[in-house]
Amino acid sequence: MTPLRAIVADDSVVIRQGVARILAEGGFRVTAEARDANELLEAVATEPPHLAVVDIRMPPGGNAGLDAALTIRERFPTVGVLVLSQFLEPEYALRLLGAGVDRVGYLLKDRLGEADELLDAAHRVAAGGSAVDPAVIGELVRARRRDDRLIRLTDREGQALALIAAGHSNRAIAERLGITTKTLEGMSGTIFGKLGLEDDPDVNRRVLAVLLYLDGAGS
Amino acid sequence: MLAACVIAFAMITTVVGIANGAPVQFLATDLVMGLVFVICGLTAVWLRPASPAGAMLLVCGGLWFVGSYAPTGHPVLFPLGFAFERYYDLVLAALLLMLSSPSQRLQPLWLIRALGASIAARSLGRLLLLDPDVNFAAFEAVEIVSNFAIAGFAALVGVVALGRLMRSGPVWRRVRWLILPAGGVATTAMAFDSLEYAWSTATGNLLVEIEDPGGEIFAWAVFGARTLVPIAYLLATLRLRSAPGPLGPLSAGLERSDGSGMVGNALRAALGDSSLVLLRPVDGERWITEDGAPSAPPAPSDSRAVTLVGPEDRASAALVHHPALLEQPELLAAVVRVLRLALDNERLESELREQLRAVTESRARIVTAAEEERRRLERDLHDGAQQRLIGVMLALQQARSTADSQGAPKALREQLDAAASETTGAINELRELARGIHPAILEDEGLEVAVAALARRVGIPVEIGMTLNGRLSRMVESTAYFTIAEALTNTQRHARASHATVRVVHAGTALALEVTDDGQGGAAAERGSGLNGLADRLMALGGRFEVVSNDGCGTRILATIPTE
Repeated sequence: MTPLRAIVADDSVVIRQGVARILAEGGFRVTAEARDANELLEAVATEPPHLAVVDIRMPPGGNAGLDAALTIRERFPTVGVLVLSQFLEPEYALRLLGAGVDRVGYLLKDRLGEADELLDAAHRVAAGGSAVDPAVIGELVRARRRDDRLIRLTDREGQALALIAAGHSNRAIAERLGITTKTLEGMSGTIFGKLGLEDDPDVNRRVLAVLLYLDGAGS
Repeated sequence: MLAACVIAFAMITTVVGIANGAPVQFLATDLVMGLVFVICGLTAVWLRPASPAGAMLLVCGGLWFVGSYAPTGHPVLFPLGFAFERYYDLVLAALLLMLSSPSQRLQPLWLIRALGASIAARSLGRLLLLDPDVNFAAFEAVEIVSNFAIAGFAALVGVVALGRLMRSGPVWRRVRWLILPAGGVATTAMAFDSLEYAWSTATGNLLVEIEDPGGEIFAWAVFGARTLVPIAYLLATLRLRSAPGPLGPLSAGLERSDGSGMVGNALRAALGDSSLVLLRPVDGERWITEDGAPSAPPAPSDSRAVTLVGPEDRASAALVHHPALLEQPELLAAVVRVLRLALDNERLESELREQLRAVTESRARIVTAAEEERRRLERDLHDGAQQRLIGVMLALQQARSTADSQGAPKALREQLDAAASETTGAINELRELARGIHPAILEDEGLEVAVAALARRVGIPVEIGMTLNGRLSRMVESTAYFTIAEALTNTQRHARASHATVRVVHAGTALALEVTDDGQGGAAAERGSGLNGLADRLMALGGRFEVVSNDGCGTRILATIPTE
């Protein structure tokens, strides 16, 4: 099996090399490193990778990384984009995922300390799935549960919902919660019932539905 | 001194008149009329020492008695008296011309010279030709020509002086109803007198034949008409003195004034000089008019006088006015005092306004600078400290991975994990800190998104209603954001509310904010230092801030921020 190609873009050389190392250890072949948005877009155009890991805040200014990520998603639909961010606000993630939840991820840079989490997300995105940082989902879930008192999700159900929104598969969620897939499926039916949403077997569509719901667009 | 001489002369004249058997009735009337000049002249000198008019009237009085020697029939005194009679007409004509002149000067000089020459010619004719040995026809010819000339020039003086009084100098406008008729009658009398001389010499008949005693009374009336001038002048002087002071209306005018144009109008009205111009110095060098137009430095000329307000080297204003005003030094001084007060007041007020403006601007600058500083700090935290901590975390992660692969002791691996966990905590705290200082999302996504993100983190449901047309300036956005943030923090901490509402409307030139909750109320800007700081910040930007918070009725925070 040929290794997945990845490009790492970050203006900090320490982070760039650190991410590249984790990706390499996780079976990716890092084909290029970019220091700013322009270098990133050039590198992607030269040889579209399976995955681009992009710092949200990069030269030439502002959140050029986010803009570059959106550009890649539009111009190179086969390239998975994983944005690394220091911002907890879900608005950034929602903007990134607004155009569709396949091949896209939004992780906090905190995850760089957990190589497994980063690699898990990287693999999911490269494989066409999605990944949203659990902390970001947590923000949405907290606000939603606060606002909508009719929905009485148990803590366990809340955790499951966050993992669903983060883009994990049923098997991965069950594993994390330490329950069987069967139990999770039952729980997920309850959750979606309480939310008034249809449980969708397609993971990506399920993520989008939950995200939109959490963001309040469905209310 | 002059007056003493004149009075002495009057006494002598009367005594001589009595001694020479002149009619007592004539002497008495003559004396009274002459004394009218003397008394009026003396009073005028006392009331208006700056004006030569009083002295001129005294001289008139002196000259009055010269003619009184004519009827004595004395061999020496009669010809002298006859030759030099009615020179007071010349002085009276000069006085009228002077009073009516815009500059209170004797103008036109040629007219006085012509009149004087005519009278002098008559005197010469009477002195040299009135001799039985000399050809009487020559005397008659000189008498006729000179008297016609005198009549003509006297009439001209009347026309010129009265015409000018009609158009009026500033001082005399108020009293022209006194001076005008007196001057008119006097000059008519002068002209009539000389015309009568000329006519009677030429034809042997009087111009106006009235039977005595009417004729005599008429002659006296014509003769005495001259005394109307000193009487009118005296009354006018008294009236000017007793006229209501112009300072009251001036102060009122200055009080109402909101521009120097109004000051000028008040001055023109107070001094009765419509030609008055108010000049103000700028930068110590240049002068400007009331309209702000540049002007030459004020300099006196023949027709203009200059009065400075304040010390000469640093006057606060200059009045360029009619020279006649100089005759009323007390009035001018009083007006200048009032004006100086008003101008000083205006200057102080404008200095105060300027200071206030400077303070307001600097306060806004300080707030803006603080805002910029917060933004910079947030950037620095994100791009500096946080990146480095992430670097540390990556290094720890690599160390952990190395430790794993090389079978390092469990204790070391646990220590590395603990270090990584600490670092994650530091990164999270730093993120919170940076967000509190200045949320990046505000600059990245604007007020609506930032407030939505903010509301999500509040412990109670927050309803948001915001109508904005695109982005606002950084300063406005961040002020609005922090106002809402502080209000919501306040709600969350103290209000025991179950629900809050945020409304933001961009109406016209201001952003209006309203944050309400259904809590227990009782919040006040004085109590919470957070709300206090907000009020300061909003006011520094020219906005307003209000807290309506009654016990048990929730809290309502209203703020406006200028957006232009």
